[in-house]
Amino acid sequence: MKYVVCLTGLILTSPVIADSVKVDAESGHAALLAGEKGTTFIKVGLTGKKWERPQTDRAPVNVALVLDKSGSMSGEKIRQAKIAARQAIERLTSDDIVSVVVYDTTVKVVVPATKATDKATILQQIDSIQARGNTALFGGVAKGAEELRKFINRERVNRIILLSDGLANVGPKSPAALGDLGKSLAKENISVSTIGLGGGYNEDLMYELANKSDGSHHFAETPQELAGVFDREFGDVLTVIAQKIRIRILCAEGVRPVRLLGREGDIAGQEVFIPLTQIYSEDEQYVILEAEVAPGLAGDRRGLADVSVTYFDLESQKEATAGEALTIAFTNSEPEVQELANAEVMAAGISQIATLNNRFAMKLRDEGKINEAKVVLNDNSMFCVTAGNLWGDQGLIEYGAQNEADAENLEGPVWMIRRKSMVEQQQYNIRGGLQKTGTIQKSR
Amino acid sequence: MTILFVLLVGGPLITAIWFGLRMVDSQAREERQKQQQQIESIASAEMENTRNRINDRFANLQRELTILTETTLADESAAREIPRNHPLVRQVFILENDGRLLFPSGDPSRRTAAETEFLDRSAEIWSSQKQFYRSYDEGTRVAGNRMGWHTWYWSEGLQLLFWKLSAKNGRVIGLDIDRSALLATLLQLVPENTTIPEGAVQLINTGGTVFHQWGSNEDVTEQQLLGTVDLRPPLTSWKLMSFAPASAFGVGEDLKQTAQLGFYSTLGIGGLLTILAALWFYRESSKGMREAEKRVSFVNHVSHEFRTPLTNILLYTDLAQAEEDAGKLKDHLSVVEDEGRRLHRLVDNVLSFARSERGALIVRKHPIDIDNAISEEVDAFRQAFEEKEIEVELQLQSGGTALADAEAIREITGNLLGNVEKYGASGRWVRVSTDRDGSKVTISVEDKGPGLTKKQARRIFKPFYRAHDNVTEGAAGAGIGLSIVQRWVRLHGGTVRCRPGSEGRGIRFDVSIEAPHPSTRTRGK
Repeated sequence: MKYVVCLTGLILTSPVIADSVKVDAESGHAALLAGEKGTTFIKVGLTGKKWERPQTDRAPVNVALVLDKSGSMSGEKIRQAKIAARQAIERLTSDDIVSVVVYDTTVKVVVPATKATDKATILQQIDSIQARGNTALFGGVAKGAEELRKFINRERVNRIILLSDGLANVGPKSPAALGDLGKSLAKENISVSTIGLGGGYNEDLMYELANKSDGSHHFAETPQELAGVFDREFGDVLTVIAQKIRIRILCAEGVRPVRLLGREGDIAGQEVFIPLTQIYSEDEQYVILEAEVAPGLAGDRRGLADVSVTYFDLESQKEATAGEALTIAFTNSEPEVQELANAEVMAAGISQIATLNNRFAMKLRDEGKINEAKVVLNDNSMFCVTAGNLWGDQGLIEYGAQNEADAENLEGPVWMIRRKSMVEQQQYNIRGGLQKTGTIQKSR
Repeated sequence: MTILFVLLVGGPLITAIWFGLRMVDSQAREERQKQQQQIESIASAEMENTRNRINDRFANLQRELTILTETTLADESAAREIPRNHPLVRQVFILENDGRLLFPSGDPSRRTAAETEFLDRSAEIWSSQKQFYRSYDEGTRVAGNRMGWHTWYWSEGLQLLFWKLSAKNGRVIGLDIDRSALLATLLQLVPENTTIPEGAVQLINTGGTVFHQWGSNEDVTEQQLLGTVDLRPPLTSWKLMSFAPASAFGVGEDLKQTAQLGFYSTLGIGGLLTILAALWFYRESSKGMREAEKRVSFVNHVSHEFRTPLTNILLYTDLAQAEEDAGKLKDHLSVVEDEGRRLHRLVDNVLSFARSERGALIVRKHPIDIDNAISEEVDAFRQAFEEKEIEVELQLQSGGTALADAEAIREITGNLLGNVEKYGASGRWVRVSTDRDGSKVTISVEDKGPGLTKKQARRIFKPFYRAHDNVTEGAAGAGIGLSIVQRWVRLHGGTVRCRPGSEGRGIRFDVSIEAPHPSTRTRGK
């Protein structure tokens, strides 16, 4: 009873702007067909607002660069990596903290966590890096985290930026192990962004590490692209406006949470819990929950879900909360169902499903089932294009075209490179990329 | 002799070398062993240090987790909150005091995917709780509560959980520890370097694969294992291994090499010196021997030389006594005279030589006419030269009186002419000339005989040396003639030179001596 009162109260309010993050919770369908089970997307969108204060007053960052200096990096690769690292560090100010860790067979801290005041010395240390040896990627990330912890607090943005060109061969090397590490780091408010260089790295490992910690994953095909990638990544780091985000969706009676699309979280009974590590200023991150709704009577309106979000606001340096309650209606009119559908939410939801399909096709191809993979990709392509046209989402249409191209690149030496592009795109999609700038090729 | 020498010197030398080598080798080996033990104990100490740090961390973690499990965990959401916040905790489980699993729920629809995964992963604990309860006995007791660690194996390797048995309600709260997070924590505790130069230390997991390596980034498969240290419970199946390359023991190697180098060079120099000394002594002694031999042969030779003219003298005297014919008689007596003179010369030479050896050969200068003295000496040879058909040419122009030793002049000239007669007769020509240049007088005797090679020319002045015996067949002489010439010449403060004759044939001897005019006596001579 208490519950219903709460819900009613919340229904009447519009989306609440709580400090730095605007929380938008919406249902893909405002109304479902009466008399039968229906499904809908529940999208919880979080948009970081523009920084009120000037750029220099942004939240200080605590960044660890973890660089691969194994033998395969020697030559142009390590040279470009150093240039990219230099450029990135140049953007830091004296309030920021930077550390540099390099790894080959062993892990060495080249620049222990220090304020970015004496940049000359930091840059000198980076210059002295020489490439040789194996790849202790896990150790590198662990040491990077250790450096971060020296100055960790929630008022700073804590980020590890990992660069690798090869396969981890010292220490834990499975994507699952690295994913677990990422998840564990996220609990400490640390996210890991991963940059894969060239055609020889393990993209699944890099993907898991980034995905589980809510970092980004980038694919730099040539060393020359590194500078741009580091730049983009650093750009993101410097605009983080909120951290330690907890999203809770409490489904109403008669609503069954089926699965989360793209993001990872806990579904237990009616409760869904999704943690996010950060929100960037002027950037939207979202989670989509697919929910099954019990049949309703035409004209009814029921509660769909209660959404509550807590986070740490870096601008106000305080914890903040926001919440929203969602309802759903029922109608006998099919056209009305269509009319009342929320195009943005639908597009977002379908993007996530298409991304899952793309991953599935990739796994088929890994198992050698090339023809089956091709079929899945072509179907996915049609799926995307159709939906894109239906819901007016350009990003979906582009992704459809990309899936078609993916289908043609499943064989031969081009597959290894193609696979890395696919993984990069998947991670990008999960973080809402399609809705922002379309496919990566366009955003480059 | 030589063999004896070699044995006497070589034997001890080789024995010394052998013993020395063995000593150095065993010393080096001892040194290496000591060093090895040293390095191994350093490695051991380092690893134990790391192990202790890890152990301490575990003790801290245990305290931390004990406090964490103090909460009553009223409901499921409380139990779920813990892994959402604690980096090392993956899952929470609660066992009722009757062994029933309270959380996660037995009903799959009430579990999260992660909770289901945990139950699958830890299935062996639930299937045989006896094993899990055994941990109870190994656990520690704090304030009435029992707690401890439990390990089991699953696909990736060692799995770990922490459990606490509450004395209050008999419930067990367990915390499934995230393996990756745990390892990352441990990596914080290992050093970045090892004190052993170029050494490396590895943390190895249950399956034997390397979790982490620090120190040198070289491949350790080529290196030597210094030691292994197992981690303490609950991580006993993980271990530390310490490696070092062979060159880490290079100190001993360097020492050995330096020592060997030093030893060998000393030995070498010493041996060399010894050999050289022995060689010198050998030469000296053999020289003495050779000299002695030469003297013996000289004496033999001289005796033989004396005997020949003596025999002739006796023979021709005999013939003369029996000779009726006055002319023939005169001839016989001529021969006797020649042989007498020859004998005279020979005796003079020998006596001079002996005196010279004693250091008793002294120059006595008087004003004499050198040319006259030479001319007289030439006359004494006329008979002999005629017989051998040697044409004599004289060019005596030393210019009057000079201060010189007449005996010396005579012996010099006599010996040179004697050599021409003995060795240069085939040239059938001899020229004796004198010349003056200031206070110096040069006496030259030249022939057109077979001449000398350069090698012979060098040795002819040495006593007892005769150029070659086959050239001088039938020649009488003991080989000291030129030696006498040289000694007289030296005592006069002069030089004697030997050159090929003009036209390249024969020999020319030039003797230069100090023989000033009496009126031009120079101070201090």
